[in-house]
Amino acid sequence: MKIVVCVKQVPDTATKIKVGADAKTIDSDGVEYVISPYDELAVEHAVRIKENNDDVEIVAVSMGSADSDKILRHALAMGADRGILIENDNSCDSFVTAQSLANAIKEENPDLVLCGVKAVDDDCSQVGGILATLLEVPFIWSAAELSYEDNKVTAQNELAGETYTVECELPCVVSIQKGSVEARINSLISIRKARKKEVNNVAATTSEAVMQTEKLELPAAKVGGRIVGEGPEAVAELFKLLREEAKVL
Amino acid sequence: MPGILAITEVKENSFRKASFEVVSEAVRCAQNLGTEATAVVIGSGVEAIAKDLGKYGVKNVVVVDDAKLENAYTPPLAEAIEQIAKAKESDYVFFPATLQGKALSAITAARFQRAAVSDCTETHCDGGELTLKRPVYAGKALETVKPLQKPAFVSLRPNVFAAEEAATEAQVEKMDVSFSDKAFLAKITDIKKAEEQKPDLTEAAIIVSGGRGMKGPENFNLIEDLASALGGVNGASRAVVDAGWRPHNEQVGQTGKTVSPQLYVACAISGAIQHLAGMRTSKVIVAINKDADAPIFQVADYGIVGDVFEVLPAMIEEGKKLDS
Repeated sequence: MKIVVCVKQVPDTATKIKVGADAKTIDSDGVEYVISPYDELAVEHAVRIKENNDDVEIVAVSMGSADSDKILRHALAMGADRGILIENDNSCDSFVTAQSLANAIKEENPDLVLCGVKAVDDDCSQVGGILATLLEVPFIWSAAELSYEDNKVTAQNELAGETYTVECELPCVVSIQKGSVEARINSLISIRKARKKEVNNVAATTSEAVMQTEKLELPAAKVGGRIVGEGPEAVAELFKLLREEAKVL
Repeated sequence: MPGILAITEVKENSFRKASFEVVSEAVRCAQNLGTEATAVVIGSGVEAIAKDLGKYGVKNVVVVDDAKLENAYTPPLAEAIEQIAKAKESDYVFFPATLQGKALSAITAARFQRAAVSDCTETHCDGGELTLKRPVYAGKALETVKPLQKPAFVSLRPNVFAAEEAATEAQVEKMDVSFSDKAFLAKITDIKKAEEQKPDLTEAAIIVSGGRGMKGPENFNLIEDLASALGGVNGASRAVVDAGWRPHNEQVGQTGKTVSPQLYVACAISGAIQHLAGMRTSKVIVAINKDADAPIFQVADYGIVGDVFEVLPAMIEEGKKLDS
């Protein structure tokens, strides 16, 4: 069985975002890049399937600049067997990204493709669904729990107070949400081993952009916020303001 | 006439609230673009409720009502929308940016070799073209995006767009579509209801969240009680979820849910950048924190500096008075 996991490098979530000189992308100066947390969970799910089954190979695939090698090594240290880096320095839309990923993944002919429910930079939640459609396989979205048995995956996702169980025979694409599974912490030994694993660099396939970013800006700072008072004595005044001024109660 | 399709989301034969927002926004955009909006209702046994959408000003409703869609998963919905968008020669297809809506918009758009502009919070109609504004980095920045080809696919963040009532007699058109066998390969095999029906955080009008300053899971009854006194739902910060005090589905923030309620009450949450990112688009923010310098006060409209264990009981009392 072969599992492909798609991973993306994103600014660490503690990053303070600054707009770059082009007013379309962020200023990456001083930004620390990490594996997108949902993608890291997807790697964890893949590694657990490998641990519980014989003959599983995990291929981590990333599209991004050459330094995405770092997050591929992170996935390799977690337990992926090899990596593919689709080199691309320009930011591109979800369709172009999915198209490049699909072309690389088709060559691998995997049984299962995992990715995070979204990348925590552009927050698009698009790539998994597009990828499944391009690979012509079913898409299970936002799985908080995932299990594999007898060539079939079972996923659970929670929506508005209901838990849905979805089943699908392989091949399919599953996007991963937070659930009970936590990503393992890499040991020094596993990090050292990962340096020796194979990462193939390939060129991105080009396709026409379907959308363009016109502008990136910071949200307007909040004005007019105020401290109503101190301690429980301020509560009556707060409720009065919420009712009469803000009109939200 | 090429117009805008507004895709609705139906659960147990009633519309999810975000559906009305999408229909209403499609009607407004269609007016600005000089075209027409058509609402789309897809499911099993949904024909009866289709007409209700006229309440939100839409004149045309397309219904796909097929027994095969009883508890069906997402792919057949995408196949149905593809056929409707082609038949109507639509320029734009709007979805609610719920979890399902985002997944559905992705697989539908991909069938047209497109991606959807996801989770938009503003629409602008200039010169007959639509541009969209959407939060990125969980709201730390805003991006303006223009789709380059048509049809273009767009999902709209719940709770942001007004569901404006404008009673209209809607014409309901039933459409037959075909489904591939492949569309039913992924199956919903079980749906478990939670004991208590609460709206999802992303759709809630009022959210009360607790942070690490709540000191332990045993004190979250204060958060739950205030939420229920105000008619809202409870959320949590990442620190609290990571500590195992609260379930992950309550987490608000960049690696949790991004929310835009009418009222967000942050209790004993210092306001890490990760958390602020997930809730700063809330209409009104209230912060309760004993540290007057906590970053949460920089995004709050109203703040009380004080101990949550003294302030929250007083707020619960005051909240209970609201009903009477």
